[in-house]
Parts: sequence; C-alpha cells; structure tokens
Amino acid sequence: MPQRSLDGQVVVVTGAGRGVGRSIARLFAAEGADIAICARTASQLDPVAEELRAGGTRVVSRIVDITEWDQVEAFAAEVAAEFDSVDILINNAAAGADTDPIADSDPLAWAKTVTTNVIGPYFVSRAFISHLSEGARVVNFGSGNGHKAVAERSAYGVGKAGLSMLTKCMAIELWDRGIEVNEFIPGPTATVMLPWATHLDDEEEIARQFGGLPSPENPSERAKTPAEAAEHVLWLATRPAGGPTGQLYSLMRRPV
Amino acid sequence: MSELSGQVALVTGGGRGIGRSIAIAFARAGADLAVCSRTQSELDEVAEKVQAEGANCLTGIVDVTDRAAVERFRDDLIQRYERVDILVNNAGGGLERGVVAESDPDRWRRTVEVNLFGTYLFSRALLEHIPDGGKIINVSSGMGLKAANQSSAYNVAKAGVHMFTECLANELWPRGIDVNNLIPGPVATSTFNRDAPGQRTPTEEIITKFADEPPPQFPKFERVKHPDEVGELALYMATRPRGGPTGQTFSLARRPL
Repeated sequence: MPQRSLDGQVVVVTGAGRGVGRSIARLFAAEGADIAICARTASQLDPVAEELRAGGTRVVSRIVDITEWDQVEAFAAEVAAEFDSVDILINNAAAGADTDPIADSDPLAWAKTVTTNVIGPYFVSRAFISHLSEGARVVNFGSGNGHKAVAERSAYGVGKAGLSMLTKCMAIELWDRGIEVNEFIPGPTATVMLPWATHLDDEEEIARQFGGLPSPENPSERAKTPAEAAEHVLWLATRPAGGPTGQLYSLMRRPV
Repeated sequence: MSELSGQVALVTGGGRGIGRSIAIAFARAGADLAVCSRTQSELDEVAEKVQAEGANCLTGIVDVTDRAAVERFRDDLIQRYERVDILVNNAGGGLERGVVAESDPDRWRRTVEVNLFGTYLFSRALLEHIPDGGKIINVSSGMGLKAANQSSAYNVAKAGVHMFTECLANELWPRGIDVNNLIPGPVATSTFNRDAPGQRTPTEEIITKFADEPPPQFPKFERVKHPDEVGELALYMATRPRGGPTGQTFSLARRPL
C-alpha cells in the first residue's frame, strides 16, 4: 500500500456523526490515521464508527455532549488509554444559529448555544492538551458570524467569536511544544447547518436540493460539499512544522 | 500533467525574494511566466531559473507606480501570451521607517504608492485580460492588520491592500475570478533585512541569524521563513478549484493578527 499522509497518526474529531465532522473522519481514516470520534447521537455516530472499522481503521467512538466536562474528560481518558498520544485535534462540534432577536431570545437556549460553541471546544482542548504530541495540530471550526455581526444570530456569533479568540490564546500558549492551532471557516456547507436549509433535517436531501448552488442571500457564496471542507482541513492539519499558527483559514467567498 | 500547465502567471517584484520564489514555484508547476521588477540583472537570473524549468519567461523593467510603464508591460505580455490567468501583486516594501512626526512626506507617500497604488494599477491594467476563472493573489502583511511601531506608511499601505483585495473579490466573483491576500509573515528577504539599495544579504545568512530568536519587533513564537515557503503557499492558492475561497487571507504568520 502506498504511503498515506496520516499513517501512524491519531486524530480526534468532535461532532463526527454527520456533516463536515463525518467527512473529516472518513478522509483522515482513508489517509491512514487512527480515529477517535464523538457526538451526542448514537444513531448517527455508530454507523460512522462501523464504517471506519470496516475499512480497517482503529477507532475509539464515544457518545459525548461536549458541554459536559465529565463526559469530555472520560472521552479523553478512553482515547489516552487506547492510543499513546493525539496528533491532530479537530474541534468541529457546534450548535446551530438561534434565529431569534436578542430581545425575544430564550435566555437558557441562548446560553446553551454559546456554551456549545466556545466552552465545549475549550473543554475538549483542556482535556486533550496534555495528551497532544509534540508538533500536534489543532483546528477549531469558526464562522463568518464570529467575525461580523448578523442580526438574529447573536448567540452563535458570540460563541464563534469566543472560539476565534480561544484559537489565538492556544496558539501563543502551545507554540513551544511545536503545537500549531488555527481557525478554519468552511463557509456555507450542504449540511443541517446550512443557513438556507434549516427547514430540512435530512443531509442527503439538503445536498440534493442545495449542493453546489449559490446562496439565496449572498450569491457569491455557494453550498460546498462536506468533502470539500474536509479536504481543506486535511491540508491545514498537515502543514510542515513552523507553519501558520493562530491564523484563520477560510473557504468563504465574501470577505469575512 | 503539471498543475499549472497551459496557464500564464504574472509576478510583480519578481526579481528577488518572495516574488522570485513564487515565479520559480509556478514555473515548476508548468506555468509560463511574466516577471517584472526594477533591476535587470535580477530579472535575468530569475528568467534563467524559470526557463530551466521548461517554462517561457517574459521580463520587464517596471516601476509599479508608473502607469505608462505598467501599461507598456501589459501590452508586451498580451502580445506574447494573449492573456494572464494568475496575477500576483507582490511588489512592495517599506521605504519610510520612523515616527510620523519625523517622517519624510515623499518617502511616506512613495511607500503607499509602491504597495497599494502599484497593486491597484496592475489589477486595473490586467483585469480585462484575466479570463473567467482566473486568480489574483495580493501579497499583504500582518502589518496591514495590526499597527507596529514606527512603520505607519507600510502599515497603512498594507491595510489598504487588504481592503482592496476584499473590494476586488466582491466585484469579480461573477466572473469566477478569486482574489485573496497572502500574508507571508517575516521572510528572509532584503526588504525584511532592511538592506540598503544594491546590498543583498544572502537568504541563508538571514535565516541563520534569526534561527534561535526572531528579530526584536516580533514575539518569540514568530519564525523567519525561507521565501520558497511562501512560493509553496502561493502555488496552493493558485491551484484552488474554481469556486474556492475569495476575499480571504492565507497567512503563514505565527502570531495572532
């Protein structure tokens, strides 16, 4: 078998039960990595784990709500027991945009969205940092909403803005272990998170109806496939040592 | 087949440093090149390297702030290649260092002209010759996003380049032309080393000098790179499939910007 770019590496992907997270797990496994995945929904996560194992990949798979520290800690412990160390951590799990104006928002739902988008990735990073190998890579999933205000998406935007800052803080704290931490913005992607397909919850249907097509609100944007986003994450996660850290990489098609 | 075979790329400020590395990387990937700068001897050396990769190379002496010179080079390029698929606005530099209160107004203006007006002029002159699906790469700087000390002209100029990229991206997406910023971070070039005109410190010497610690104006986690590393990133940007990122920034910096 030819040399693959991630042979011998261990990759952790959160939110891997569907969408871009699932595509990353598939692509990175195909590149030879051992994979640790988590998500909240067993009916989505289990088939991904089975598929990867069927392809010959070593897999740790666990049901985790990343906003629950105990669950995140247990996931990290299980991964540490199975693999020596983690070489790539992909903080992909996120919560969708709330669509209410602040004035009408449900305070607890608002707080939950912020928590999932920034405290969750912090919990995951906190739990895994001591297991990261020298020269490891961390990719945090940002959003254009974290950089530019969008009405009625405040909780999501605030969470993603916080995650952007967390990325920079991690970069300047971890560089001396050769660990590089970058933010990645996929832009609109044909998943259940696609802003103009929130009325649908079936990803295949979303891909069929909207895949590759322009955004109704911002015609320069188009709904990318999860596989396209995964390709770019692979590129970002495999930059040579001494490459970018604390930076933002984006597939958007309008200024962030 | 090579990634850029059949394509034509123009690199401004391509006689040395980052521009030279980009030109050679593109030639290696199969593109034909047009390279301009102000120094013929440097252009001759780059042309030799480009041709050694089996690519054609048109060279021209151009001051990027001189509209007539830019348009002459454009005419030569169109006569030779008929179009340009990839435009790399790389020419730039900081000519005025020091506090605003003591700055030389002519050098301050000239810095803005070389970095920003030059980028505009080349884009303006070439736009109608870039086919749908082409690429524009503007070499920007972390200095365009965050003020440094005693380099206001360069900070302001690169901030302008950054915004120009975003404006152009908004205008050109209907033609499928993607326009992005490239932030190299500190790179071992004569500009970075503040060499006097005509003086060229060898790349390896600069890298060795800062191998253990970056220069004092940068945090300890920055790294002085080889210009070829920037050439590789530019090649990645130039080879994104149509519909890829536009109006975005690709940065090799190691400090949050």
